[in-house]
This record gives sequence, C-alpha cells and structure tokens, in this order.
Amino acid sequence: MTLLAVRELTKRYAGITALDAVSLEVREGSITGLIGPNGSGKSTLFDCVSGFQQRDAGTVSLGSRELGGLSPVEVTRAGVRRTFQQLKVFAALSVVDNLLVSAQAAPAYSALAEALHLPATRRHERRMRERAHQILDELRLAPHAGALAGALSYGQKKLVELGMALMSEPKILLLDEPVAGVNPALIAELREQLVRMPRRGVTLFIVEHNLKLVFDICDWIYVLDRGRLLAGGPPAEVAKDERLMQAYLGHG
Amino acid sequence: MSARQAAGGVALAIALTLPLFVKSPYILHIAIVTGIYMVLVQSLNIVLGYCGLLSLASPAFFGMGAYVATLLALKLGWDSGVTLALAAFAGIVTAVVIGFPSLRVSRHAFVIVTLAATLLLQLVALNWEDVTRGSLGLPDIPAPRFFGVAVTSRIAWYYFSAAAALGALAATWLLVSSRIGRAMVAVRDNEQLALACGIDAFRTRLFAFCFSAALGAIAGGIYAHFITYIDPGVFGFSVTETLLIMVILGGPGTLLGPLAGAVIFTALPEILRLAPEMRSLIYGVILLAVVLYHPRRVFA
Repeated sequence: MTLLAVRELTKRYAGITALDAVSLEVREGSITGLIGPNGSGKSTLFDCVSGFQQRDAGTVSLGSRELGGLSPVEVTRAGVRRTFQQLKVFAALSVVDNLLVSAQAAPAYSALAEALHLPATRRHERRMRERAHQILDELRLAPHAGALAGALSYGQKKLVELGMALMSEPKILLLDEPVAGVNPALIAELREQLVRMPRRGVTLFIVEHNLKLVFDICDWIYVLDRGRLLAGGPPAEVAKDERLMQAYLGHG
Repeated sequence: MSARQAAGGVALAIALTLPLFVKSPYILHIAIVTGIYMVLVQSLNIVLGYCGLLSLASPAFFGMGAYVATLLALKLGWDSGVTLALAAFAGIVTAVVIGFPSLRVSRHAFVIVTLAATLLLQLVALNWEDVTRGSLGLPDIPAPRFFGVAVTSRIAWYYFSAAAALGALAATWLLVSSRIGRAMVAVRDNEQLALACGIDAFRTRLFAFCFSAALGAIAGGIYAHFITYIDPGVFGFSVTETLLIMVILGGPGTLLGPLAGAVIFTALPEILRLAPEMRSLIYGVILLAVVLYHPRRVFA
C-alpha cells in the first residue's frame, strides 16, 4: 500500500528547475532509497515534502491526506518526520530533553496547563520520560542521557537524531544522509537501527550517498538526476540500469 | 548538599531575616527596590535568556502595569489583588499587540517593534492628559491593600517585595521546567529543527513573551504603589538598560544568575554613590566588555 505519494512535483529557483515533474511512491513498511549525484534535487524533494519549501506544481500526499501547502509543523504533526543533511541536535539541551522535545507534537497541549504542572500534565511527562529512556537504551545512549547533546561526538549525535525521530512516532521518516561522515563501526550500528524501523511501524525514505548501504537495506530505489526521475525499481534492477552509472559518472 | 545549595540557603536566610538586624530605612528602601527588580529581571530573562530574543519592551510592560494599577487604585479604589491582576492582563494584551505581528517576521523586526511600541506608549502617557495628567504625573498613590489589609510600614513593604520576588522566581521556574520551557530553549537553539519536531516556534515565543509581560506589569504596579507617584518616565529607556545589564551579567537563561545581577546592580550604584550620568557610562563599559570578552553569555 502506498504511504507517501509524490505526483508531478516541480520546484524552480530563479530560472533553475530543481525538480521537474517528479512522481514517486513510498510503500508502507518499506525502506525506500533516493539516490543521485550532488545537486540532483534530493534535498529539495525532502524540503518540498516536509513543508520547508513550497512547491511550484504537483501534489504530495500521505495516505489519503494532501500535504501540499501545510507548514513544517503541520507536516510533522501529520506523521512525516525529517532529518537534515547538516546534522542538527539541540546543543543546549540534555540528550533526554532532546528526545522529550521531539514528543512535543502529540497530543496538542494547553500552554497554561503545562506551565502549571497539572497532574495530567505530569503523568504525561512521566510516560514520555519512560519512553525516551527506553529508546535511549535501544540506541545504547543510556549512559549519556543527562549529558548536553552539544558535548557528544558526531556519531553519538547521529544516534540522538535518530532517537528524536523515533520519539515523535512518525508514520514515515525522511532521513537525509543518515550515515554521512560516520566511521565504519558506527555505520554498522546505524544500519542495524535502520533495518529495524519498519518493524517498529516506521516507513523509511532515505537520501544517501553511501550506495553500498542503500543497495543493501532498501526495498526500492529511485534515481534522481538534474531534477528528473531517471529510474525506480528494486535494487537488483536499478543496479543493472546503465542510466544510473551515467548519472554518477557524468554526461558525456 | 552542594555548595551552591548552601549558598542559596544562606542567601534566603539573610533575605528573610534582613529587617531584624537592619534598621536603616535607607537600606530597607534599596532592598525593596531590589525585590521589584528581581521580578523585572525574570521577566526579561524569560524572553532574552530562554527564548534568545532581544526585547526592548520591558518599560512598556512596566509602565503599562504602573499606570493601570495606579488608575484603578486612584479612581476605583479596588483591592490590589484585583488591580495587579488587571495590570498583568494589560501587560499581556500589550505583548500580544507587539508580538503577534512582529514575532512572525524576524528577530530583527521584533527588536524594532518592541522599541517603537515602548516609545509610542510613552507618547500616549504624555499626551492623554484627561487620564494620565501628562507630564504632571499621578501623585498620592495609596498603599496597596489586600483584603482590607494595607501594606504601609517599611518592614511590611520589605516582605511584600520579597514575596513578589519569590513568586516571580517560582513562576519562572514552573514555566522553564515545563514542556513549554524546553520548547523555548529548542526554538532558541535551532528553529528549523524545532519546526521539524513539530514545535510551533511562533506560538511558543508569543506565549513566553506574554508570560514575561505579565511579570513586568505586576512589577510596575508594585513600583507605583511603593514610590506613590508615577509619570511618563516609567516608560523610559533606563529600565531596559538596567535590566539588560542585570540579566546579561547575571547569566541569561539561568534562574538564579539574573537575581544576583539584580542585587549587584541595585546595590552597586548606591554604594558607589555615583552621579546618574557616570552610572550610565560605567554600565555601558561593563556591557561592552562582556559582549567583547564573553559573547556566549549574551546569546548562549
């Protein structure tokens, strides 16, 4: 069943067509990859889906819900969570607070009830805290729960980012280069965490330059080149596609 | 018990017993003013320290609270619990009027609008003579009265002011330790990531700004009752200047740092007995030095 559907998505920046009528689908429970050379429009596609950029044409829908025109906050609350190409955590907050902040979206809360620490608020807070510690356990970050996120190593921050994403219980998670700049040992660790996601009910849509990882864990791969969708299919099929090689090796 | 807790305990003990061994009306007067400043620094601390927004509207809330509490007390003679609550409400309305258009735009727009709004309110206070008597000001503001009990003696005033300072500290602690408080820091730290987490940056900032305005307005109301006279000078820029230096030097985004700033910078000028012009100059130099040598303290 299709979870995320992108139809004829077009985005232009002052004369440059970053995305040219791109259509693709992400099936529920799948790990779907999006690859392509630098500047091919992968991050722009994520920006348009997550509401950080407004599209010029086309539609984006999650299940039966149209996402076009929603703000980033509304898109997140609809169940689409994204990470950024440039690693982002809240440096001034502790690791566990980073996760708690990510559970902000649901349920909608009354600011005054929160500030008054009413019993219902405190019960909710306790439940969230338990869940945050459980996720930190699974990511083997428990010893760092109280540390400031800004003080962690790059690799640990990557794990925190993943923990934050899990905490918000998204239907689909858009990961922008989840293993970029990470050492091989941690790549193995992150890989293990990523392949578990569908079992937790989280569909993955991944932009990644590490093709070995993409071909290893994805059920379906799309290839983007200069704003156009070149190919899409199961990894075995895409690997044989000559256009993929062409896109990466340049256009002669 | 850590050293910090011990120091806090000693400070609290001194604060609670001060009138027992200090009889000088002059020192008590300064202590009362310090208590009022302790409310004001938390008001600015919430916006500047926890939200990372530079607000120049402290005098707007302070002055608004002073005028609303004064006019209600003078013309209607209502209980101070009610008039201070209405002063807080007036502060919140002012914050919505300032924040609703400007917080959506940019942090820079916000700074300018807070400044413009403060100047505008001062003009209104100067020119709406039927109500405010303009530059003549409003004299003979009665002592605050709660359920028929008036706060008149200096010792009563001391404890009233101390209670206000403690109340503001407690309110600020409740706010910043809540989910909203975490969201405020998150939005300050990285707005894009906060949006991706589903945090409505605009609403979070607006709520914090209103909370801060309520505290500022209550401080203004208490100040008016204490000094017993106000004029449009309560909207003056010197309030912002003093508060900025107290919060920035004390440690923005911490609960107790700005309180230390409030104590030091109400006591210091009195101890040094400097002319007001010199005081501004020295404040300016200190502020510059901090910005130059500890810039992380300004917007951590």
